[in-house]
Amino acid sequence: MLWRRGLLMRYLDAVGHVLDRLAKERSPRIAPFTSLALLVLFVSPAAFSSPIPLRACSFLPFALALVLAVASRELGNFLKLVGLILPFLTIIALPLPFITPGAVTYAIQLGPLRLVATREGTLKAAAFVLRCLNAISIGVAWTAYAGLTTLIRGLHAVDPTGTIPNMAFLTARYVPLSIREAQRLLAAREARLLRKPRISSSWLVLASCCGDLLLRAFNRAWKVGLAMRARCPFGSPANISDPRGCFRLGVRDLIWLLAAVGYIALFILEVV
Amino acid sequence: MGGAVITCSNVWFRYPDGTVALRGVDCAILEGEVTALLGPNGAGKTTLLLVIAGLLEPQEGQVAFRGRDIRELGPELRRHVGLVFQDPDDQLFCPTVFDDIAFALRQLGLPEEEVRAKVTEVAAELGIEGLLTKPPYRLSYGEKKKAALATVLVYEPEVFLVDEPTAFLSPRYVAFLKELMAEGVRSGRTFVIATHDVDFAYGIADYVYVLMGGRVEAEGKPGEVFSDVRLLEKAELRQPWEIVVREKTRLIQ
Repeated sequence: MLWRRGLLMRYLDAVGHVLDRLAKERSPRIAPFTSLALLVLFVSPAAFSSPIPLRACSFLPFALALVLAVASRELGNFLKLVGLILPFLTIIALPLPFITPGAVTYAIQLGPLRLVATREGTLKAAAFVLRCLNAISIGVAWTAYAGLTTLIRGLHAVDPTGTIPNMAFLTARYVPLSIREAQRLLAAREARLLRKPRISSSWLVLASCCGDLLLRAFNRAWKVGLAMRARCPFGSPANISDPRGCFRLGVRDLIWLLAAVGYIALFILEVV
Repeated sequence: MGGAVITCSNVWFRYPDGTVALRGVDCAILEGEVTALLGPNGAGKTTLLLVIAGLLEPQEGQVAFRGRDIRELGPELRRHVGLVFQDPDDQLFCPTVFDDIAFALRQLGLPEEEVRAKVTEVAAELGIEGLLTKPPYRLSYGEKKKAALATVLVYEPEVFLVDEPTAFLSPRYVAFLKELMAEGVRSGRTFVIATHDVDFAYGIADYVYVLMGGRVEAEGKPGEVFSDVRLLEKAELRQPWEIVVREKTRLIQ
């Protein structure tokens, strides 16, 4: 009988797949700088305002994210990502009802330990989860729509020297590669486990990969540095990509900017 | 054939962890020839290529390009000497294959139209014109190898340093590469290859250096080096199939 792939491998598979899709080169629908500005405009209101008390507009960023995911034909991957993020957010928010002072709503008795949850804490936890979910989902959906490389090209406007976009490009290029490397390392180790792995042995396998991955990352960084220098006749490299066309402003850009202004106005008037 | 385009005299290189990779290497790369660096793993082949490319500075000795110390030339050397790494994932670091091939040309400040024309021409030569808009990590290993080669071919350096050009590649790609290098030699390009592939080296090289433990153990024409069975055994190599078959046929006759 074939063993099922471990949870960790499937998790890495999912992360790698999502990153692959995000980093996929898309035809530039919107100018790089406009894309970046729109990302900030869409994410900031969702990230810096509380969606509680709940109103229709509390879900506006998520709804917009869904529309964008459908428009970029990434709805399945988008929902997978949301499914991946929600448990993490819940774990982070879990202590909030118990550590925030306020009116007691319920209590849990765990042996000698009594955990008291408050209404304020529960609302705080819900607001945190919703706020993060809104911000992440709109950010991810916009990235999928505009294309990660377009957004990174937009960074040339923030840093004309090109250092930040270069670093961002290299990260976008090598993170999926590192995930694949991690998968290969894990697969090679799992292939040598002659019994069905227990959870404890899975952690040992993972732990033994970490150091290896770190060393490989250093080695790769050194080699990539050499490869860049090898093709730079003037010493240090200029830009990895062409920064031209960053500020081009077309009709589509203007329409999107107007839509973003409308979104912010709606958000500020209704939610904050 | 011309004179020596690159000369290494008593080159010593030690890595920061104390590993001595090169121990007094002397060699000369002749213009318009294919020079093969052979040897077991850890013999210093890749380090020698990095030193020749001016990417690692030797602690002792001198590397000269057309008689001038490469330390004097500085980054200018990179216009004349191109290096293709063994692992194409080290070589390809741009968002798309096009950007990667265009990288060196853009560093030279060429106009974008010229860059586009040159990239398209080289991509067509290597048969990867359909991959230009793809991110490099989405390519197969063979496609990555071709793209990596294109990144250097595009700016037409005089000397090509190619590390393990045939590793993990199909025979079809190896034949393609052989033809490409032969064509390059006919147009006056110089190649230095570091390889374990004795059949490839025998078929393409004009001169061979055998490295062991960071030293040049033997050198000569491929016919001479590959007929020394004892040397090949010591260097963890074997005779090329062509020689083996020829020998066996001779014995049968």
